[in-house]
Amino acid sequence: MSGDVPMTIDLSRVAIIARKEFADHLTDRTFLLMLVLFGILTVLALEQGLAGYTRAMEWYVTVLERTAHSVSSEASLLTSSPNLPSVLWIFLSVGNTLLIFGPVLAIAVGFDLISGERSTRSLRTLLSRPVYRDEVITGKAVGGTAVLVLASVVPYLLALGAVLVAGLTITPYDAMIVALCWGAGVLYLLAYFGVAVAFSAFSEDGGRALAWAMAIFILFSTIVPAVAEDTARSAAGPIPEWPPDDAPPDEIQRYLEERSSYYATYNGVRNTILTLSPNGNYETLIQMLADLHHGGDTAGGAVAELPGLDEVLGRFWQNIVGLIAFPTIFLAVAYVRFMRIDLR
Amino acid sequence: MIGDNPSPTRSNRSTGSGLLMVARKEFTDHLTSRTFLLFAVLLLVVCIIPFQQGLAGYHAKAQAYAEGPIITPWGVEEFGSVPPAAADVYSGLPRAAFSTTGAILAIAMGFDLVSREWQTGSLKLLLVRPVFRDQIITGKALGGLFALTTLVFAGLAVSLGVLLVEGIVPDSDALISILLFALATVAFLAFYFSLALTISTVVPRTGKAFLYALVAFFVFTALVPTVGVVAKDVVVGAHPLPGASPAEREDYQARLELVESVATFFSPQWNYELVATSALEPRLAAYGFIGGSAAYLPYDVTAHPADAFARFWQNVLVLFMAPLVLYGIAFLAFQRMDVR
Repeated sequence: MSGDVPMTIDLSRVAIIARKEFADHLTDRTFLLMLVLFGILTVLALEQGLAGYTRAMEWYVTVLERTAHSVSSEASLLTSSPNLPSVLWIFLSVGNTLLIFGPVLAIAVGFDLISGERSTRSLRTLLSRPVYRDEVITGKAVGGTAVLVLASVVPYLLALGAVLVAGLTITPYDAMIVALCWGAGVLYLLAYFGVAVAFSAFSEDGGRALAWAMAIFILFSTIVPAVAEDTARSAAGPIPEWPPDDAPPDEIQRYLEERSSYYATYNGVRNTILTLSPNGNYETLIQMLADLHHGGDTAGGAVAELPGLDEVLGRFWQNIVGLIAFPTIFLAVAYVRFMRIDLR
Repeated sequence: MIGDNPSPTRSNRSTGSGLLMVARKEFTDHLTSRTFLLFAVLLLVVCIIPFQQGLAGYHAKAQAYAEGPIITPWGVEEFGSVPPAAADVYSGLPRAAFSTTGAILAIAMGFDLVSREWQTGSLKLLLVRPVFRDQIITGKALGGLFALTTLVFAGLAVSLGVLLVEGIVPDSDALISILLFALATVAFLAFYFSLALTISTVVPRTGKAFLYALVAFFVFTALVPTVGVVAKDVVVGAHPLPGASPAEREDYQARLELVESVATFFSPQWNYELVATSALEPRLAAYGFIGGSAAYLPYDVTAHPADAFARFWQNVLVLFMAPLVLYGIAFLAFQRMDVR
């Protein structure tokens, strides 16, 4: 067949390896155990999300009733921000579970990809077959990615089920936001999958690869956010002083300007540092998608028209690029390393 | 004993020396392992920011104390009327970031102790030497425990040095508090270390052993708290309305405390945070994770470091006994392990 054309990748062989890798993971007891744990955590998060939604809805109804009954000015304070609770909240509670538990799932899929075959010596046998190295690594990466895509669908399916059982409806706009959330989640999982595969290619022992991948996870999930916050706070300087009650209007105006520039610096520095970390990128994207519902502004109040997606995505392009670049770099490192690996 | 045939007969002397030999070798292995050093550095980095904030808090409190108490219409403000304690500097440490990193460090130390020997076949070689099985497993556990203790106390020594450089001289009460905090930290790390050791004796492959340990870690840190929150909603019910009778309110409080204590009991991280906080702040009277509340004794009550430990003795007991129980399981599993 394509043995005559040795320089091209034979996609059928890649597909065979990918399919085998996919089946191996899905029948692996450890992976299934983690998936079940993930499912349980998601269901618990959904329960909380639904309860929160119900409470918010009751509050919304109360506020509306109160406005209907009284025309007095004191009620307007309450009703100035009648945010209609969104079904999105329920889906977002799923995203938070993914934030914490997703990396572990991705690392679990990736850490043994190469080191497992190495420690059981099956890699030599595999490479003595009529298949090229790049086909092996590509097939394995594709298989692992497919497993992760499947795993990331599970929580959203559970959420969809919960929403439908609760009798809520989803608008097409909401559905699109949820789909984007899911896309960000897949990229986030791929980031840690890439890290795990890279360590797997460098380490002869699966356990070590896993330990180092977990170290990366800790680095990005706890240390980088703390450093980002600390740096941003020192870069933005002191918080502007609250003006006295009897301050003239221009003083208040100055305070407001100072405050907004303070938060602009703070958020800018923080977001720049977080762009380096997949956790930061994912969290920012999810937050941004959640805010879309309120017209792209967390302040609420003014019922702005929903901004176009391209505009909002344009504002967060760094995060998107960061989230795509991270897995690409690590998978490329793994690829190069695997091509040069010395098997003896 | 001089001139004895050095055959592997069981004498008291050989039992002790074999154990110490294994422990010493494990200890040096840990301290020179790259993974251990990497995680130790991570743990140190995680500590820096909370410690810095603790120092800033100490200085702010000291300045407020120097300026004298603030008297408001509601009485004397606590902030500014008590001198700061050196132990306060550490109070930001026993939080989720620190305990998560520490737990993964401990798991990374323990997950391959037996499974790697099994996987590489060195366990068989080891067992034909004149050391007994119980010496190997006990030596491995002790070596890891020594390494953890060394790590914690090295960090403690560095932090005390920083305190002295900053001009904070801890008095004897503060020193005891800090020491108790360090012991609680060692006990918490030892829990995850023994957990990993146990899993390592049961699961023969290193990668799988680490994964199972991680699953157990997530059950303890993610599942138990979430179940606790759900249980609070289901068992305790809604917060009584402002017009509720005192009996109703007491009933609610009692049920909330029950759920809190059960959840804390099964979550090593919460248990550690509670015990460590009580060691550093002896006036701690109640600490709720689900409700997010903390209650303290009035500031004019004198409290000694061990007082809060006595108040939370069940949690202290669980924190210090759980590693021992896990070690017992590892011991039994290793004795019965089929090495072929």
